[in-house]
Amino acid sequence: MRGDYHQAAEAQRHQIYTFAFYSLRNREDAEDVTQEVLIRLWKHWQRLDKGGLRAWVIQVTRNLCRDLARQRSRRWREADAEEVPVDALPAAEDPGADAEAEEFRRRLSAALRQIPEPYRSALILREIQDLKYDEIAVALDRPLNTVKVYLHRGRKMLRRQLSEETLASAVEGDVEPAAPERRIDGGRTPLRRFGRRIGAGKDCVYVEA
Amino acid sequence: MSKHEDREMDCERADAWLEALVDGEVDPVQRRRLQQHVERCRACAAELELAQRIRAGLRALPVLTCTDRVRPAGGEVTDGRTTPFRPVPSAPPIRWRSVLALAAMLALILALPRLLSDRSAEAPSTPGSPPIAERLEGAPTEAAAAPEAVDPALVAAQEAEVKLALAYLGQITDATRHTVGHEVLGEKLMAPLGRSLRDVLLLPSSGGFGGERDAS
Repeated sequence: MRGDYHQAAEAQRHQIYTFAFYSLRNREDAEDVTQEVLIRLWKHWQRLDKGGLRAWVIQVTRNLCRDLARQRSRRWREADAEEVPVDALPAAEDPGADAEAEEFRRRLSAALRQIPEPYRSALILREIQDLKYDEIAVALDRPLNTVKVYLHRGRKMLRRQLSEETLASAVEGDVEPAAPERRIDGGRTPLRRFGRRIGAGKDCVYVEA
Repeated sequence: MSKHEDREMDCERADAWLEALVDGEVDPVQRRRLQQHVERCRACAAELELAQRIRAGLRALPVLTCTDRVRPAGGEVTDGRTTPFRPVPSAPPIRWRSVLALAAMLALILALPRLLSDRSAEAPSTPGSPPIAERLEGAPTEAAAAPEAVDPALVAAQEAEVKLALAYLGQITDATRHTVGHEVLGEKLMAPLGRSLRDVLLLPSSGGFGGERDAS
């Protein structure tokens, strides 16, 4: 029994740690969660349906991350967030592109932590851990179509958040905005309003220049 | 003010479909409409580019390797020997001793005016008044029915102490990141403590600090 458990624990612990890290953005917290999941796995090992092991592990990990995040929420500051370890990242050939990619990765992982549940879990499981839709559906205990909706909404939330950051940076004069500033026809300037709908629910409106 | 739109696709619809387009989950007709719109609308083109960057960026985030600090529970089997399990570091334990001490202090402070008033009422009792045992059986004396007034200054001072104790209790529970609920303080702590105090001091049950039990 112990041999089987150790084999399963070894197979799962990196996945648990990855999920916990991207949820909490703190290595020690992620380690604590991973350890706790492994303890619970050991405690429930004999009663567990081994076919549903992965889903069980994901559910327990999610619950523990949620509880820990709730505990930490009062004291959490963005400055406390830890970045993805550099040694875990693939080396880039172009240093300039590497710096830009690193900056985008930092913003992306920071934005990911801000995404509410269950969208964040769906994104981590699908995009980072490469689970299939049906596996995510089992893990989240939701229908397949619901999982697809979670993923679309989660990505859209990320896009809104990153767009807002870009706009804010552009207003402060740090960087050029990603969206085009001027249209050719009629001398009209598009005014982008990110994350907020204007008028009759439109994202993109044009005003006279 | 006019939004950028064409007959089949406007910016709002395009925005709703961008993620599906990136996922390759739109039918060919819808895909063609989206692509036509994006070719004309540079703002939506920028949004599509961002959606694609996000998708690629998420996929580029690595699966991390857990350190060896985290080990399987139940002991690790290596070379036939089992190493003991190292318990997970967790949140600091609740300082129940401090909480209990404070709660006891709080109960005493709350009970003090009542104790003083009852005792002061008991002191001038006449030689012919019934013994305490009889009083516990439900026959209140005249002295008990008309206790002396408590000094308002004493009550005010004790109220201040109660507030201080409550504030301190709040600080401790905040520092330990635990909440002591009303059900714990009231039913599990205050009421039993109140009953104990009554039993020890042989006071009649008067409903003070949550005690519901009859003195009998």
